[in-house]
Amino acid sequence: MHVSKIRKFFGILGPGLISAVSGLEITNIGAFSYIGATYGYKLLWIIVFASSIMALLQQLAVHVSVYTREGIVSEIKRIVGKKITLALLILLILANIVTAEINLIGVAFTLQLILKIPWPLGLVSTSLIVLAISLQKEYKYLERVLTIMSLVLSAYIFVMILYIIENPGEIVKIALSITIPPKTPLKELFIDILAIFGAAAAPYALIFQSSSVIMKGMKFEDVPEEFLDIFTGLIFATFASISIAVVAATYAPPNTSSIYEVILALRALGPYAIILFSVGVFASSVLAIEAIILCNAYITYEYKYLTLSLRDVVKSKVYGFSAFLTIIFSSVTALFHVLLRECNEYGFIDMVKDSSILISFTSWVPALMIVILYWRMSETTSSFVKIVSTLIVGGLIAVNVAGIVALAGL
Amino acid sequence: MFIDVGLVLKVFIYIVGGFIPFLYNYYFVKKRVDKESTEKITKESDKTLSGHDKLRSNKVTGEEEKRTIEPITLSNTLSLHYLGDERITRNTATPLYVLLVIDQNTMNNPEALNKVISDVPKIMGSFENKK
Repeated sequence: MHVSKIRKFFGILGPGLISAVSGLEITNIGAFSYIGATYGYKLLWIIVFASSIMALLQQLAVHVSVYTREGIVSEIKRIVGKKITLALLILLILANIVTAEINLIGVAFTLQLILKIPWPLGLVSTSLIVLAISLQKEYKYLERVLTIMSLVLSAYIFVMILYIIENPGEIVKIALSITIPPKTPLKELFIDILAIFGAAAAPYALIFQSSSVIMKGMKFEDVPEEFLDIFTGLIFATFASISIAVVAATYAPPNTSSIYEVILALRALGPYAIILFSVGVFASSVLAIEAIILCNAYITYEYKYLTLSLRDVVKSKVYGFSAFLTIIFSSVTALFHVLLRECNEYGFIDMVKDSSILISFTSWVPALMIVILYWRMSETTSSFVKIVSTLIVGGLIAVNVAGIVALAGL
Repeated sequence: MFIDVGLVLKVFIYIVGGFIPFLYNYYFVKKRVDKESTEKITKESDKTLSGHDKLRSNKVTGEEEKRTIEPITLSNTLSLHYLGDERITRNTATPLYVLLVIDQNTMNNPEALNKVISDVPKIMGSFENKK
């Protein structure tokens, strides 16, 4: 292959691959470890299903942003009015805060496990570190370092490949359980399925997708290339998520509940497992929280003023407020979450499930915004995609309402 | 023969709700982009063929309306300083230049660009009224 072609190929693969790897954070690791350890391969297809839905919504976010040339929030405000937009944004910010708080808890418990630092102290120090990094504003170099550090979490893929090499028959079982959904009482597993959707959702990712399109000044002819990037991300994210579940199904104890038991799934790596896990979780959590701070600032700025590039939002005062408030709210929520669950690191998986379910309850918000905007596009849209995306959002809302009803015991 | 309806339904939702729309949308958009670029190339070649005549006819239309549209390329913003300098422009019949500063996003969106251009007379009218 010609050198320039190789370069172009990796140019397309690079960003999607890296963002997919750095998108692996404690919510995914905790939720998919639990799913693998508890149900084996039975729910792998739901992980794939949830990831593909997310990828379709990302595609639509790109398409809509290229067409409107405005941020999602500005457009939605114009269509549904200020009050409804505000209500939707509050839900989105809540989902972001829940994602940030579980990441803080994950790092605090990991620090307690490795360095014997009491989790409250770990929680406060991690919050302060994240705040300090975000207030620096220019942390591009640090961001690269953190991204590289978070790459170590792809150790899950490595362990799965090792396992498959040792047990070649397993690949057939895995492939079959992904392609043909095994018989499972979905009603009984309803809440756990919601947790999978919550872990795969990352609602802030859709806002980022849109803002990056606007920042790059992308044209319609660039859209297929961006779709390829999303496709790469989808393939990698799905592969990584399946790896986590498969590795947990193989090596983690059946009733995985603590962060230590989650790490046990990586025991094939020997003494390096705990170090790799800690470094990866710390880096990916810091990256995720920084992304959430930026997302909160971006949507607040867009709601209050106008669409702006991410770079300019970072320079605004709103960003400082967003960083401060996001960290305060996430730390306080994390503290209350641990205290309410009355648990130490042994109840970690329960807390991940709580957070994933809460994120799932709000995951439809950006999806709904994007689908509304997609319907309003007059050109270059497909009726089939319009119908399917509407059914997806409708399904997400229905499933989450049913989840709330089930949890409330009504 | 016994068919597990639940399983068939699950597989159907799984395929139609997941990868199929994702792949379909990719090929749908790609096809549109290819179509647009082919149309663009055809138009460009048409323009090249009759470009000279078209330019001439445009000029005629402009003269009919007593207005000429001449593109200005700015190499340096300082070259426009005289526009704000009354000592130079006073009592002289200097032409009125309208400088549109259009960002890349608007530039790439034909609808938005048309709107900006069509708003120019309105903006000019409001200036006239203020005088």
